[in-house]
Amino acid sequence: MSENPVKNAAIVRHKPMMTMKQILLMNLGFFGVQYSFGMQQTAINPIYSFLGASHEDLPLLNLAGPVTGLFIQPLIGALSDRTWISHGFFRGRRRPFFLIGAFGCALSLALFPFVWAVWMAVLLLWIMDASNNTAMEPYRAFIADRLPPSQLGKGFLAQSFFTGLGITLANLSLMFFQSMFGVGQSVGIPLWVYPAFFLGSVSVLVTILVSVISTPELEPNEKELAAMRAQKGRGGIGKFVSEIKEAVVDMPVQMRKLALVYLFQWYAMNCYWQYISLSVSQSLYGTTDSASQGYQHAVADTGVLNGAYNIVTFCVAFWLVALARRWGAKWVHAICLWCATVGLVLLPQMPTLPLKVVAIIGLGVAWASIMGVPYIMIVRMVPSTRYGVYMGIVNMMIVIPMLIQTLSFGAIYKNLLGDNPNNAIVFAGVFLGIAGLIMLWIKEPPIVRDVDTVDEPATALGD
Amino acid sequence: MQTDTILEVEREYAYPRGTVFRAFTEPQALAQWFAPTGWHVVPESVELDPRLGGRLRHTKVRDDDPDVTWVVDGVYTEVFYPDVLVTRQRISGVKGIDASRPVELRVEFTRTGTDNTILRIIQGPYTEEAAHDYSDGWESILDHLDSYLRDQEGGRA
Repeated sequence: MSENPVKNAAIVRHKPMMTMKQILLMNLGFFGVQYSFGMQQTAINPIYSFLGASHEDLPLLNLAGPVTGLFIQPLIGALSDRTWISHGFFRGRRRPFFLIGAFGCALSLALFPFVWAVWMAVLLLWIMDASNNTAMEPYRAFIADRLPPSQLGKGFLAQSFFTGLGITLANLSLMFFQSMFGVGQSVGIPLWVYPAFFLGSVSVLVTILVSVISTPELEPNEKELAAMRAQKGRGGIGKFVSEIKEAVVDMPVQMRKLALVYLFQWYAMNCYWQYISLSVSQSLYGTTDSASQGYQHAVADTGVLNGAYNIVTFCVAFWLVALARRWGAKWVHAICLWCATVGLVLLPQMPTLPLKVVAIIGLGVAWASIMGVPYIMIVRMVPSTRYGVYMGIVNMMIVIPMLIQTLSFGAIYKNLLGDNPNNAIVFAGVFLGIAGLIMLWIKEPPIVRDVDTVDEPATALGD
Repeated sequence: MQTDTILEVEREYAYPRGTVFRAFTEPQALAQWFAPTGWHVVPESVELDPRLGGRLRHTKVRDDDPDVTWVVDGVYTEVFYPDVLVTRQRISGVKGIDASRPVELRVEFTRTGTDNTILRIIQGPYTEEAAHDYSDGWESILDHLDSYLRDQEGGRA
């Protein structure tokens, strides 16, 4: 090596640790974003059906999710890393993206009930998904900005908690408004969809505003601003692509194995979301005709089921952190996934809604783990300077399986699963089980707790 | 005063990650640079066993008063070569730091460019005042690391 010009003088930061209350307030906006995702998971597919879309087209009509996740999230992540707005309401690094995302979500949710054709619903879904991703990606980076590595586990699990709560309330709102307004007309968008989406619209705006106002971003010092300016000058997207390439090359082997786990678990989750309402309709009302009253009841029942599994999610989220810290993330995640397998295999066989609620508990446990536990493993083994880019890669590990599912599952559903939505749910359960098995292939280093757990007291030289 | 501040210090070195990582894990290397200006590490005191649960110990002595010592005693809690090294330590002999409360030192090595390394030190929790004192110390320690790596490079050339 020729010479060693130290490129930067040391950059020093002081990061105050946060109390649990502060961590929850910081992540409250995640509730709004997830409320919006909850509406997407439960209400969008039935809306497609109300508008006359065929069942096997559902995966393609949902293409917005994986595609915007694949492109918008990394782009927003890279942009926000290079941003610092020093004045006004948009002041901050992540805040401008939270606010733009929240506004886009709120607007698209408010307009959704007014669609009268499938193409309009598709267009709004793309806008809603892009906005959701714009608000969500900086959230992962925001907690890495604010929290030291020792508190990141709590931060990710707080997000898991709000994911559960947001999606639960989205689903419960669908059920509540349906019972209030009745199932309504047999064609077009039923009346109960309107207030549920309006409530979602308000929730996204309010919760994100509370988060950004209550949790100011850490002010970068002069050296950090200079580094940020230098980064900006180093070429935007090209630089970002090369950062991803470097991170993939340097990616720890265990994280590569995790990508395979993700392939099966996210393929499975997409199957579940797309076919659960049809499965409930088939198994409880004996029809998959979207114009039937049975199907409308099934949509409300799906709201109950999705609400139920998400209640389980937020009940167990923090408990899972403790278990993962004690026994390791690998076993905790594998067992959680197998709980989902048992639940989803039994779900279509359950003859009543209460029994289906019992069966869905397994998925709730798995969903809590999916949203939090693998992150605990990742933050152990990668440098925090790369959390941003690795979160982008993890995001790709989520959306690529969803994209593969979107493109492949229509044919599998028709040719292999006999056009039967119940089989699609069992298929999802089996895939979650396979993901659990692959999890066992990961070698997770044991957890060493503290200096005091290892013997021998400190001795000064010469003592 | 609350012990709730985490200190982060970051610097880029024109050396590969493996080289910088070894400067933290080889006793003879660490003894040569791991002290702020005005202090030095007693070479015989350095004990490093960089594997999970392995011990690390060393004593620093003030250059102008050998009676003033600073003892670090810890255990490795994460070792992911060449990315991450985490230890839990009890530090005694330093004003403002309670020796009975272990602190965590996380050292991260990120490749940047062809073969440079971004070194990030994350240490705490401290009181805000202690974090300020320690950040000055780290800046001079990282200067010494730079000199050490340069000398090593010169020695090999």
